[in-house]
Order: sequence, then C-alpha cells, then structure tokens
Amino acid sequence: MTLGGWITFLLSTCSFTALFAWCMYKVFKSDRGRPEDIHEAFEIYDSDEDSKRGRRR
Amino acid sequence: MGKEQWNSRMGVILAVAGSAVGLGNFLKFPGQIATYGGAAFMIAYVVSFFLVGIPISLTEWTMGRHGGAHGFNSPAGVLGYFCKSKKLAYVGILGPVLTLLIYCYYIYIEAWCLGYAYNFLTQALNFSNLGEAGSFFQNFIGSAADGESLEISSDKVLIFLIIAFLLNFWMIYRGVSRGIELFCKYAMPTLVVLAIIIVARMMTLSDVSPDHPERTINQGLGFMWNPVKIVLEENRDGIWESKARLVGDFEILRAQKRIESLRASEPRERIVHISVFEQLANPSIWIAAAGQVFFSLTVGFGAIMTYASYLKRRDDIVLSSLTSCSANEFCEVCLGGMITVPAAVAFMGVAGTVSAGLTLFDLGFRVLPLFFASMPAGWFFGFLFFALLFLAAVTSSLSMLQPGMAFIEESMGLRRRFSTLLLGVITFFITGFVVYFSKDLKAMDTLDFWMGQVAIYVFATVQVVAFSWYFGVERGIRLTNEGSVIKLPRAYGIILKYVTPVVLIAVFVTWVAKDVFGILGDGRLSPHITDIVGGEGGEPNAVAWMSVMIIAAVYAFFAMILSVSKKYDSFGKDEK
Repeated sequence: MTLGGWITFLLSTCSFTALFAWCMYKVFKSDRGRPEDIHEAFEIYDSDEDSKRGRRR
Repeated sequence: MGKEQWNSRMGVILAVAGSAVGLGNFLKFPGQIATYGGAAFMIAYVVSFFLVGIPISLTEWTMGRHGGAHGFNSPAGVLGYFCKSKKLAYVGILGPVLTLLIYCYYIYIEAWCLGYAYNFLTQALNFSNLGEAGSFFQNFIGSAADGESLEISSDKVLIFLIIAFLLNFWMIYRGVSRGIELFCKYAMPTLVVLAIIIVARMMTLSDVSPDHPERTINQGLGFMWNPVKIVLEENRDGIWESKARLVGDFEILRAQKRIESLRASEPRERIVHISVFEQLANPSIWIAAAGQVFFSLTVGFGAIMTYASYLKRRDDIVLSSLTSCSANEFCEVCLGGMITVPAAVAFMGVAGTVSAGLTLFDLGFRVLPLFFASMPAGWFFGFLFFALLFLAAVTSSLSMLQPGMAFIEESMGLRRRFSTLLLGVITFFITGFVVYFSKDLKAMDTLDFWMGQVAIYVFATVQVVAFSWYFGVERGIRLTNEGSVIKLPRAYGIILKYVTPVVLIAVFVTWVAKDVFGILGDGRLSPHITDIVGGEGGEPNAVAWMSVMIIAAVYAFFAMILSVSKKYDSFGKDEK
C-alpha cells in the first residue's frame, strides 16, 4: 500500500470511528439523568402494581 | 392489545443499526471500494452519506415517531397519517410489500451463511481449488436446476433455511422489546467482537502464498485503498483497453520489464496512472457510492419508520439516527472493509481475485471459503466469519418482517399470534417459490431487481418528497427536533428539500437509463427487462413473470386490506 493509500485508509476508518465514538458518548451522557429515568423509577413502585403483586402472593 | 414500546434508547439504536448492518457491509462494500478505487470512492461515499443517507434516515425516524404517537406503526399508516391522505397510505403499502418480499429471498441467503458456519464447524469444507468451492456452493444452493435444494442434508440449504425461518418468526412473535430488541442487544456486540477477532487474524497473516511472496495483506489493502489507480492497458486494434490493475512495486516492475521486452516490436501495452480527480469524473462511481450508502443504511425500506413508531412521543431521534448510521459505517468501513478483499488478494493475488469476481456472492461464498479451508485453523475462523454474517443477516431480516407485521396488526386488528401466523403463511409460500425456482437464482434475482432496487428508490423518494414538500420542511425539522439531544440545524432543510430529492431522482434516472434501458451504456436492455418483455434473441422468462405476478398479488392483497380497514378512514378528515 502506498503512502496515499495509508492516508486514505486511516482518514476513512478514523473519521467513522470518531463519529461513532462521539455519538455513543453523547448517548450515554444524555441517558444519565434523563427525567424519564426518574419517571420510570417511580413507575416501578406503582401502587397498583404492588397491590397486584400482593394479591399474587 | 397494549402499545408496544422499546425498553431503552440503546435498544432501538442497536435494532436500527442491526437492521442496517448486513451482508453488504462485509461482502459488497470491500468489492465496491476495490473496483472504484480507495480515495475517490470514499469521497463520493462520504458525500452520499451526508446528502442521501442521513436525510432519508431522519425523515423515516421523524415520520415513524409521529405516526407511532398517533397509533400507526406500519409505513402505510405512518405515511398516510403524516400526510393526512389515504391515497398516500396506498403508496405507503410499498413499505410492507417490499420488505416482506425482500425477506423472502434474504432469508435464503441468511440460510447459506448458517449452512456454511455449520459446515466449517464440522470441518466438512476442505476445498483445494476455486472449482471445488464453486461446485459446493452451486450444489448447496441448488442453482443448477429448479428444486435441486429441496433435500434435508447438511450440504443442502433446506434444513438451515427452516432453522433461520423459525428463529426469525420466534423473535417476531415475542414482540418488539422481548424479541427484536433483546436479540439485537446481544447479537450486535457479539457481531462486533467476532469481526474484531477476524480482522486481527487477517492483519497478522503472513506467508499466505509461499510461492508468491508479493501476495500479502498489505497488497490487498493497497488494492482497496490506494488513491491512484495503476492500470496496465493493452492496444487492441488501435484502442487502449484496460487489462489489469497493478498493485505493489513487484507487479509494476514486472509489467515494465514486459513492456520493454515488447517494445522491440511494437508498443502493445502501457502503464497508466488514473488520479483521484479522473476517477471522480466517472458518473458510475457516484451511482455506486450513493447506492452503497443507500442500501447499506437500509433507508427507504420503511423498516426504520416502523421501528421509530415504537418510540415515545418526546424520545430523541436526531442523535439516535446519527448513532445507528455511524454504527453501520463503523461496521462497514472499519471492520467489513478489512476482511474479505485483503484476504482474497493475499491468497490469490490481484489478478486471481479480479478473475474470481468481486461480487457479493463470489467473494463470500467461493473465494473466502477456499481461503479459510487453506489457512491454519481455518475451520474455526471460517465458522466465526459465517456466524458473523448470519448474525448480521438475522438482525436485518427481523427488520424486514416488522413492517408487514405492523401492517397486519394495525389494519386487521389481529392478535400477535394470528398476525404472526398469517405473515408466516404468506412468507412461507413465497420463500418456497424462491427456493424451488433456484436455477440460476432466477426468482431471487427478479424479486431483488424489482423490490430491492427499483421499489426502494421509488419509496425513498416518496418519503423525502412527502416530508419536505407535502408536510413542509420547516415543520418537519421542528418535529424532528422535538425532544432531541442534538438539534438538526435549519440549514439542513435545504438539503432535505432540494439536494436529497434531486440526488435520488438523478441517480435513479441515470441508473435506469444506463443499466435498465442501456441508453447511456452499451445500448442493451437489462436482462431483467428482457426477462419480462423478451427481445434481444430471448423469450420472456416464465419464472421472472411469476415473480412479478407475486409482487402484484401481494400489493393487491395489502391494498384490499387497507381499503376495507376502518383504521385509515380518518385520514384527510382531521385538521391538518
């Protein structure tokens, strides 16, 4: 592979890897502390669900 | 029936990325980049990624989420609701129809991958030359005669087809979150790990061809990525024609010596350097790059639209769309681009690889099996490679079933058990047709041409035009940005409104003119057209005709369901 080939190869692979890594970073960063997570956490302790579980027991 | 939803954002991203990552990433992309040249192809590819891939993906995500929030999950319902028009719902039927029909032949290829993985694991594949690899492949898929593959045996595709078929329907029956999402959550990371192991093994190979020291992985990488193409041309009756690609100092020196020895009589051969700019001046490279991005991202199918319809109303879509697209590109460029062609060149040389073929089937099912059969512990790496392809294929085929499933559930109000059964019966018979008419893969080839190429372009163009012109690009971008972590700039509206539709239409028209009607090419009609209308010394082909009839029948069946369903009656009556 020529020098030009190496440059093309590294530029292509590094650019798409960097884009993918940045996207994943943003996804994980924004997932932490999403208001929906708090909302969903409350949903786990839904009283109706608790009473259903109680009945099953 | 409760509304289905994704369990997590990562789940939907992996499912959409899984839908995009398929055989094309590992088998087609390397062949394309080797054919058209590294830098030039990548320039056209990156331009197409931002002007075609991302915009269509965003329109699908936006329309899907909007439709899903109002109770529509199928492309027919989503497109109809988005444009408040029942007529557009009839156009939207193209989504479930084309994905369902593509599934019916894609599952056949998926079964090949499973069969090859199994046969490598049991060490049953011991080829010593390309002829043996080719005849095993022909026998395995039954391409010599119709009905030849309908036999239960490990060297025939049927048993693997049944397993793949049942696996897909089991996942679909389990639903979006417990089936598709769960499978993709495990399959996608596994797929990446497998690909990394194979890439690591490929990059550390040495002495693949001891008799030909010039054949190395480095030469294979150069064949793909070198920006300047060096071509040996031959003079035939006064016209210089390309004879071979030269990669590496050894091949160039050998060609120079040969030319010097011939020069004594007359100059019959010459070496030509084709620069990146000269390569970019060829329209074929732009058509190939746009097509590769388009098909690789699985945009325009309606699958992303269906997946996005299971999002919540304020879920992010811009970042999710970009993440799934970039995941696909990572798998394609960084992993897929480093396996097949470098291995094939290291084993067979540039000339050998080119003569064996750079197409998806040639590389994947003839050249690579021979390569694995010849390398140390090749059965293990062959198994890993085909297991990787199988996982990639399953994550894609699941996304092809879901639009049809969503349409049946939505329009007929059926429970999951019955809708799975109905979809299973339809796909069983059509897949049976494809597998039975396996001679020269005629049925598969015809369905692929009309659904996998023509219908997808048409449907993608309809989606972009509906989003940008019918709904309004400003309104569309506002909708896209609702709840999004990163905002889509308003300037992107220009691309969505003008650039993407123009590029799509231009590429489609050029492709139809060149490859279908031969207007810009050699003047010959595409064989897919002559199969239907006859001509050029051939009669219309019965299998091709039956395939087209099946397409029409499935469309008519879905259109009939839509016309009698009350679900879509409100379109056009609500406030716009």
